[in-house]
Amino acid sequence: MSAYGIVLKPARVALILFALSVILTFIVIAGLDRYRIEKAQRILTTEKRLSDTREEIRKLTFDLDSIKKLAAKYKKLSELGFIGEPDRDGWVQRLDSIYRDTRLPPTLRYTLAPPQPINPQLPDSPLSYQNNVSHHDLALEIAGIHEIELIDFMNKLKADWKTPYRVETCQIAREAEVLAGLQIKCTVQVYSLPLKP
Amino acid sequence: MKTVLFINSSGPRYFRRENGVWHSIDKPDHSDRLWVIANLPEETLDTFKLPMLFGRDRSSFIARRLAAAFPHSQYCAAAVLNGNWLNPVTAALNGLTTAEAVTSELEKHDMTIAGVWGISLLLTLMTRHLSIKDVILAMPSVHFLRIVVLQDGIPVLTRCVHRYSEDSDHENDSDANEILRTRQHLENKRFFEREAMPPVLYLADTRSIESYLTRAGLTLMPLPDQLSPKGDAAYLHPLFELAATSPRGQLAPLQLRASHLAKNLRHAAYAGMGLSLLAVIVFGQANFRTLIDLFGREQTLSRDLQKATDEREQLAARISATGMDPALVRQATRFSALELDASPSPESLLQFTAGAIASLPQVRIKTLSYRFPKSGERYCQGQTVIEVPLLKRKIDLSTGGSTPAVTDETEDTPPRYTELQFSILLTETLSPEAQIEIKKRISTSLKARDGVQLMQDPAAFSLINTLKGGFGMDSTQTENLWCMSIPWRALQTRELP
Repeated sequence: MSAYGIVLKPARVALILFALSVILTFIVIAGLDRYRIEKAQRILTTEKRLSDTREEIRKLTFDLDSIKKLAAKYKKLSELGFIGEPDRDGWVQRLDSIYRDTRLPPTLRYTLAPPQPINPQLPDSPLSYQNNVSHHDLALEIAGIHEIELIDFMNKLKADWKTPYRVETCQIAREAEVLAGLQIKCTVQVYSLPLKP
Repeated sequence: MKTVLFINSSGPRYFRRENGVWHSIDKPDHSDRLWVIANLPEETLDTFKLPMLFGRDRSSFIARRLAAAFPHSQYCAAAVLNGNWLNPVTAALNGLTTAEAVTSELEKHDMTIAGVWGISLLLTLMTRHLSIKDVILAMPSVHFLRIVVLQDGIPVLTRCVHRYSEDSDHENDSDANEILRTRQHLENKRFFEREAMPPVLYLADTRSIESYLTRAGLTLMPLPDQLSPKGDAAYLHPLFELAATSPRGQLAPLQLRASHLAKNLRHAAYAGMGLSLLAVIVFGQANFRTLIDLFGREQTLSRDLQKATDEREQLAARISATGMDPALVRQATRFSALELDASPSPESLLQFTAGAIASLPQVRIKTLSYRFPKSGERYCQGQTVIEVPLLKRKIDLSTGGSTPAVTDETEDTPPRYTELQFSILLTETLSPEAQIEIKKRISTSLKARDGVQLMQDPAAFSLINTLKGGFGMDSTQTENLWCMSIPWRALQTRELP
């Protein structure tokens, strides 16, 4: 047995334990450091997730508040036909019907143009609420009625037409003969907003 | 327990250290560790200069020197006394030519042997520790006198002389006589000149030799405090203390000391394990504390996250239960408020116009038209609406700047206007002055309306108004036309989604 063997053999258990303790020390110290870094990273990730979730909650709360506040008006707009597929046939049929009910001279002419999208706006533009909205221009011509009759007709439209519209332009001219009534040309814009896919 | 086995020619003696004092004992315990000091005539001590060799070359050189000096004994060593990497190294070749006295005693006991030291080298080391360079060191025992001579800290002579009687007063037999013989030898060998002879350090009671040495011209060095006798070991006490520290110059072969070295190694390994544990505590405690904090924080975060996730799920479920898309709801209602509800109806515009001529029975509306110009479009054939922002905005002085601060949330949507124009016809023929008066009254009535900007006004002063005319033109068509912008109904913030 070598000189080193004579001394090392009786102490080999202690030496092995010492070597193990040194290895364990390195493993524990390095492991703790690595574990701390990983834990800190995990906590950062959790903090980010919590922050994101809180942001989502804020948005969802805002959404829910919006729905609570605006649900009635939204339902009314839905009933008007503003949301979803436009009921173009229904619009003109009801217009015909309303005009007939007013018993005015049968001088109504109308043309419903194809739908046109309103010019798209940037998402952060103040007019971004116009995006995806289409307008359907309905050109109306009526002749030989008087101011009061026109106002009655307009009021009836407002009350009974059940259509999301506004009268965009109007040209009213009196006939050469005062008693013959008015020549009226109006453009009514009917709006529709499709449901999101 | 530390135990010293002191072997001289008179026999072995055991001493055990208890409370800092060495006590003589009959025999050691089995568990004791033994430091062996040999004070035998067989001990030799020689010095030599070690060449500038390193590593295996150096150890081989020393091994050859030892083998040459002690061909029949394993009890030998070469202890370095002086020198370093740059200066020549002086080493002491120390050993026992025969070691039967030691081995026979050690074989009697199965004990852990820390090592075997020759007394000459121990005395040399002890004297060097006291910084005594030149000295004649004499240590008597029962039957022998050990003399070691140091020159400049290097041993030049060691003797082990038989004493016939320690109490003899005969000059020939006394220790003093042996010291004087040694002096003669030193003179003869020219280690020291007579007048430069070093002092004598006598490690025993000096009364018996003091007068002889003084008469012979030798100086007796006073005993340093560190070498004062103590306990049963007496003058050997400092020597035992030194030996118990296992100094260099150990003579025994490795096999004899294996148990001691293995024990030391085990103790070192256990100490290393303790240090490892300490290192874990010292270097890991910061991370450990941080981890405890992080665990606490993680638990709190996990609870918060779980709560937040539950809340989010509940909110999402409640929104889903409504069957509505919040973004679509907001967009639809905003569009309705800003584009449908805020725009004026034809009835309101007719009523507005009727209001302007209400007090004029001879006036009828001839033509009326309106439209809702888009942003950037011109009004009334080339006019623009003059916006009056300062009326709507406040200057925020508190911030120190002059940047207008928006106070109304509806301010981000551009203001909208209706372009309205109408012309009149008169049912009666009136004088020009009366016609002008009527036009003025209509214009005044229009201007009185809130927000109305009259862009074409037949009653305006001709210096600033556009004038049109000519032969064959119907001057009433242009002269009786009013054109203006009317703001849309202002929405309150709460009306907007």
